[in-house]
Amino acid sequence: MLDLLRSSWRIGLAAVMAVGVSAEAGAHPHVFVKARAEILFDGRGRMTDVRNVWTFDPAFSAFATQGLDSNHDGRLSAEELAPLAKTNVNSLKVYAFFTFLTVGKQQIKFKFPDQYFLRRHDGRLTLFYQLPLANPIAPGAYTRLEIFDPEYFVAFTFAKQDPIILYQAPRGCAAQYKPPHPLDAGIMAKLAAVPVSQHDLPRALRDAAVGLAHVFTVTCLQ
Amino acid sequence: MTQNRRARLRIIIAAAAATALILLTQVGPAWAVRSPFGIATPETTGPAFTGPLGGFFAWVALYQAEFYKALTQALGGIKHSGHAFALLAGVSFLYGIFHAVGPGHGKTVITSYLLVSRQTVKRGIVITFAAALMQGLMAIGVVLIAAAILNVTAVQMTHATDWFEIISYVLVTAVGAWLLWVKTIGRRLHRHAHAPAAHCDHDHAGHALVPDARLLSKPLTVSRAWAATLAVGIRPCSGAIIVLVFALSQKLLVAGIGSVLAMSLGTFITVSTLAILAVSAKDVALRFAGLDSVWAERIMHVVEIGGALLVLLLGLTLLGGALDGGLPT
Repeated sequence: MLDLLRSSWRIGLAAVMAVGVSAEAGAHPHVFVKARAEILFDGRGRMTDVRNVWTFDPAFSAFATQGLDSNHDGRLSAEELAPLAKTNVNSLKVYAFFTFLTVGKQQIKFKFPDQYFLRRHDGRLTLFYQLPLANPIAPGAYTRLEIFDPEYFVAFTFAKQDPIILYQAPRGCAAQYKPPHPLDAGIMAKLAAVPVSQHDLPRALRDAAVGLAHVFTVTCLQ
Repeated sequence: MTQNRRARLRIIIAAAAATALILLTQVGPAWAVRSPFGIATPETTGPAFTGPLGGFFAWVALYQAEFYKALTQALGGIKHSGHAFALLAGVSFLYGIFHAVGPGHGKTVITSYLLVSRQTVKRGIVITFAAALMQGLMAIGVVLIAAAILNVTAVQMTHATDWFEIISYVLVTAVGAWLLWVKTIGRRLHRHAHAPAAHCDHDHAGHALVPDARLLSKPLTVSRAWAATLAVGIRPCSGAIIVLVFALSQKLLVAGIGSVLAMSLGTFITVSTLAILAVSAKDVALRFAGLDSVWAERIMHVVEIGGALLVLLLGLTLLGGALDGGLPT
């Protein structure tokens, strides 16, 4: 009996190792973005657009601008950067622009950006683009804006000062920023404790759990 | 050991092998992903940080991110300090180690290939070294030709590497199909050709434990090893390309090349460790299971067919995913 136990334990270990060896998991960032979010309001207190201002790290900026200085003057004009800006927003569409807006319990749909452009300053590229809400809506009691890349190819950070700006918001509206949880030992332990059967958490919750989502809450007092 | 106990043992081992196989195919899912900015396609990825090892991979990703950041900063710092070169090499090496633990179909293909074609640990190390070095050299080659000489844009460079990715998936599929052939139809054909019918049972047991080098002529096996190496090494990693183009823009191309070679060395350390573990785990499991050679051979054979299928399915899935949005133009 002891033999039996011993050999099945060993086989089990070998199986676990085999699985570990072949396991595939999430990516890791090749793009580091310093971001700022802006919400635009109309005269009736409704949100009309979300504007993202994303500054890329120097390495990705250098890669992105490779070969774009077509007139070799050492500067990148708006015209030289325009095709790349277009490629950027077209590609971001598949990823829902990493921007998720919820009013109450309703997930808000965006139209394709109507304004977008790139600028280079001090070796860093900044992408500006504006996502119009399909239907403008007032923030009400609880609005949540989340910005994150669930695949973790893009690592976002927000400035401590003014991570979000509300443009022409009605009086009594305020935004609060909740940075992602640091991936500390406590979170790792919690993740490890989640039973395998519970790994089908809703996507947003799951990613919040690993600490990738930047969450803004907007509340307007009447 | 009594007859009864042996029978139970066999059932348990067969069940464990079957479970391992099912788990292997379950953990395997990977799909090609499009770049969120239209340039620098991310490595193929599985579900982000889920599964029993999710926490571990989140931790790995965190460190990769840190090392990658440190790497690009070290590269930027070289202009100001001589010590930065050693720092850059060290950080690149560590990044390579962590990066290889992360996403990528390379490990699955290499370890499966080594297990199924019954390579020795020594050859496993040679093959993983060749694959890691090739991946680094591909990145260097692409950036030298595309950026330094032709001065193409990031979009065009990304298209080029997307093509390499498709070639890589075709090769993965081909390696999987070849392994499956050798383990099923090819094996039978071979046995019919060489084993006298009267000694079939005896011959089968003893013979099949001999590595496949005997099954196929040696040069052919070497060429298949190259196919597996190419399948894994032909697609340069986005991180390496970004670092090289950044280095080029800073007029530090030599430092960039050094960094990428150090990365390859790190990748080699990780993948060869996994390959050695996989090959030794199989040997140890077989030895300690205490099975007679006929049973051991049967179980191994089932596991190998599973491994071959895994590589084939992985190749097809990756290829399907990559072609889903149309060919890169």
